[in-house]
Amino acid sequence: MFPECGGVTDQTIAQQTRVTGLVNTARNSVGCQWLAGGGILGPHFSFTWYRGSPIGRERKTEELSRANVNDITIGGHNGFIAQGADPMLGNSLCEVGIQFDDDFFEWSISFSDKPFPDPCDIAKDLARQTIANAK
Amino acid sequence: MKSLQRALATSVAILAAVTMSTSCSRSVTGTAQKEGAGEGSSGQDSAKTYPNLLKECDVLTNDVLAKTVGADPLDIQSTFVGAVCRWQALNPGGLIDITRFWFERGSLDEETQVAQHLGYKIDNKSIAGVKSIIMHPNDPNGSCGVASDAGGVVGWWVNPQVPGIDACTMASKLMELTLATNS
Repeated sequence: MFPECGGVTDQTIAQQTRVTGLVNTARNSVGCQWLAGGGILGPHFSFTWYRGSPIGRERKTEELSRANVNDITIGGHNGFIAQGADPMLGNSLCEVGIQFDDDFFEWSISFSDKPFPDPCDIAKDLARQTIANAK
Repeated sequence: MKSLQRALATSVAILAAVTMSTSCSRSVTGTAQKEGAGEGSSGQDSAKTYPNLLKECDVLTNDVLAKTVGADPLDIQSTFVGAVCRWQALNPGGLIDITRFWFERGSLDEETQVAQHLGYKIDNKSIAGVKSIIMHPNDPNGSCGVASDAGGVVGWWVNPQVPGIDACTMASKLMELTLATNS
């Protein structure tokens, strides 16, 4: 089992993304979503815990919609890493999905304005933290 | 499967002005495939019993969602799609985030265990005759979730960004509509 938000604090999200004024707008049993000023404009960062859901279906969707989808292993757990490109921003989106027993979780990092840190570095690091926080 | 890349050039003004455009200008990735498709027979059973479930994120139309949480139908926007869907709606009291989940291979027992693990207060309740739980986190804004024993397990969360909104009534109403046995 994971803690709320995969055990990642609002402060960690702010530090990693370097976005100020983020609000955790949907903290609940399936995940958390951080939005700038609490509104839908701007960057989107989220953690989602899929219980009893096949990761393969999610990966297939990513393969159809993202520029790159590759295998990844973090802390001995397998999954995918999907990178998305925006014509104006470049590689501004990254999603990491990790199988965990019968479940999987996904970190989604999407920036809306330059400059921004590498979204895949953030998604991978948050996935590492989530795995470490599992009980 | 995030959604909605930043959207709507106009939206800042819009949000401020309280007249958000509905149309998702950019659509999103996410699991378009119906839950249940190709996943064994349970999906088909669910489809027969709860025709609204198979509409995925569209299980309830945006109009119905907005009305249930006291927002204008123009003031709701999808932010995430798939087995978990998220929306944001503008109630006169403030912004409300709505989450719907459907875990076809999940169970109400598992959701109860997760809610206990997360330290939520749990009430048992029957919604539309279906065994359900109401989940109350210790949240000053009064966020509230409901999960029901249908098609695996289906749930709704209402997370207001301000206090004073009756999130449990809203979440229960959304579930009642979801479990309607006719579409």
